[in-house]
Amino acid sequence: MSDDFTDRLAATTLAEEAMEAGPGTAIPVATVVRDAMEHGEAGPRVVPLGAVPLYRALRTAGSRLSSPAALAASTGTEQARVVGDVTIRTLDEGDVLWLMIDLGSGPLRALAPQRLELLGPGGRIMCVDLDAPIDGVIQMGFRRADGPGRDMIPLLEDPATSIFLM
Amino acid sequence: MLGGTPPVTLMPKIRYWSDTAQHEFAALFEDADHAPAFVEKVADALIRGWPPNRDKPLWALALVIEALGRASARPNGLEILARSPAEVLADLTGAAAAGVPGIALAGGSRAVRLEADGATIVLGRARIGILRKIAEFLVAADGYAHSAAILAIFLDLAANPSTDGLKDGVRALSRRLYEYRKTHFAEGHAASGFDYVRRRIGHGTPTDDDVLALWTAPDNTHFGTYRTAFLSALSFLAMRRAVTERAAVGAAGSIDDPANDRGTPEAEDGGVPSPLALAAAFEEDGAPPLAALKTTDLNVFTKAEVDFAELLDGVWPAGRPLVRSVMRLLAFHPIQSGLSNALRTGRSKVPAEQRVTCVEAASYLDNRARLDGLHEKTGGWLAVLYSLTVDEPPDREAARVSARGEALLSRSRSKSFDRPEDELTALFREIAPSLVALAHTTDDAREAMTAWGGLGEERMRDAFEADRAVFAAEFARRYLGRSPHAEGPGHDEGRGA
Repeated sequence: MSDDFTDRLAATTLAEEAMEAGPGTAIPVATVVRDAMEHGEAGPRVVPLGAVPLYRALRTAGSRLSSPAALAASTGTEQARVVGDVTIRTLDEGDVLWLMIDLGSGPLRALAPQRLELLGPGGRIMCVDLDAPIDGVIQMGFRRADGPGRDMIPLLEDPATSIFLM
Repeated sequence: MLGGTPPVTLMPKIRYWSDTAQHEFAALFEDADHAPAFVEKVADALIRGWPPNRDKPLWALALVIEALGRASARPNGLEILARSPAEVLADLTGAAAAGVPGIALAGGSRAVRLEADGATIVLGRARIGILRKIAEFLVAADGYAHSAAILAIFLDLAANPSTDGLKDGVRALSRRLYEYRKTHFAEGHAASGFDYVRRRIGHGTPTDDDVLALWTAPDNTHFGTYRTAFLSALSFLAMRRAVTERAAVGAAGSIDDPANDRGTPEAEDGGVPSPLALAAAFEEDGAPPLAALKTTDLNVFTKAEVDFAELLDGVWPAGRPLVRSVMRLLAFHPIQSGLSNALRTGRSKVPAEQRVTCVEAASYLDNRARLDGLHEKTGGWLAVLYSLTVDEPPDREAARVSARGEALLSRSRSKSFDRPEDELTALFREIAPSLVALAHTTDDAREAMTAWGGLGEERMRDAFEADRAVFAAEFARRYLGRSPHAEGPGHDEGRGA
């Protein structure tokens, strides 16, 4: 009886304090979830480090293609990823880094992805709208010095970055 | 105390859990304006489970994730986090209609009955909402330290549904929550709260003054608000009764709650459910009764009315024998909650020195009138619901109700009613169970208050004035650190901090 009462009392007061509490220091799951379900803005965003697995899992489920890591043989600046018959490669040309996505012959070829999202291991997020494919290949160049490339390229070159196509 | 603002002090609150647990729990409810009753249900489920089984909510959570996995072409164990409870329920009812084994409709399409290994559970939208919050809590617990492991369990449950997988999943989730409880919920302190209430109430039947004394007593270090003290007294009484009954009947240890197996008397052809059927479906759901009124798009009640109703609902019908305690709660809890909010946020329309005097408190006569108003209004909305759902009233009485509803609807100028009729009907149906519950509660409370108010208006006024003096003194002591003149110097711990 004492245990039961203790639990009830604890529940009542815990609830009461939650209703009275202001914005705390904890990160609400609901916020991370909403973030991962929405399209999200393009600019760099940061997911709190602890919530990265949650964000990654939700994005993986919601995207049309996801690649958690680059092939082991990738070099520092030139990355390659293969998911089914889709390949994602980067090509380093000094000032410019090229991103090439070969959509293969599957469903992505029939309906091209519109958007690419990068999730760095530190929780950093960048989005970019993809160009239309030409003959099943999307090819985009990013300048290292300025524009979205400045934030994109370090993520693209990190083999531990997750790539999502939506 | 000379000049300036008197030092503001609070009674030290008893912590039954770590600050981490408090922050993490509060963070669960930042996404929307949740009803206090809902928050309490979630806290209750995390701390005690669904009696008699502590791990039942986790079992139900695993079962929902597994069922969603079996129902979906692209199983994704995170649907419970990503989709609204209504959508999850729609998926499950869809699966039941499609004949997925282990999932059946219950209570029309308002709930589903899930079955695994001979045990069943009925889940409606409200319970799914609770499960979702529990899932969120597990993911975020301990600063997301275990989120990867928890997510792996969710994903696996949905991707590889099997009896063994379910058992393992439930076991793993239970272990996680057990670890969390062990670290963050310090139960030792709380037990002294139990001893305190037992010492004061003992085997007797507490009077209204006993309840008040629970809060105002010098040795009360357990309850910050009058409301908590009152609720604790009520749960103590409920438990004392339960213990007596259990001793007579013997313990039942089934994971299934037999109450859930009642059939729901609802029109099978999708016709108008009777209020009784709604009430029954609703009880099955174990929902916070008035939650729908908070989230509805219809402007049926003002925020003040909903707050009032919720405050009453939290102690009714358990508080029925203690009408004056209920009156005190309705009159003075809003003042105390305003005080603690003001202290927390530093913003307040009324200065604390003025607020502690309870000049803003609604008198007992006011509150009785408010209750009458609420009852009347609830009846009106039920009439509107009736007029919307019934084309041809079967008799003259029904026709009168229907006409009243139509009249109310046509007179209403709120923009929220300016929608196509079927949309309006659907919205009203959603809040119907809450309206029915509220009608029952207000009806019963009015009866009890009328019996109590039979003392006469003069006596009610006197009672209010007397109580106001007590509460004002107590608030001044707690929030301004003033020792009331009527009391000895023994327990003005806030003074001159």
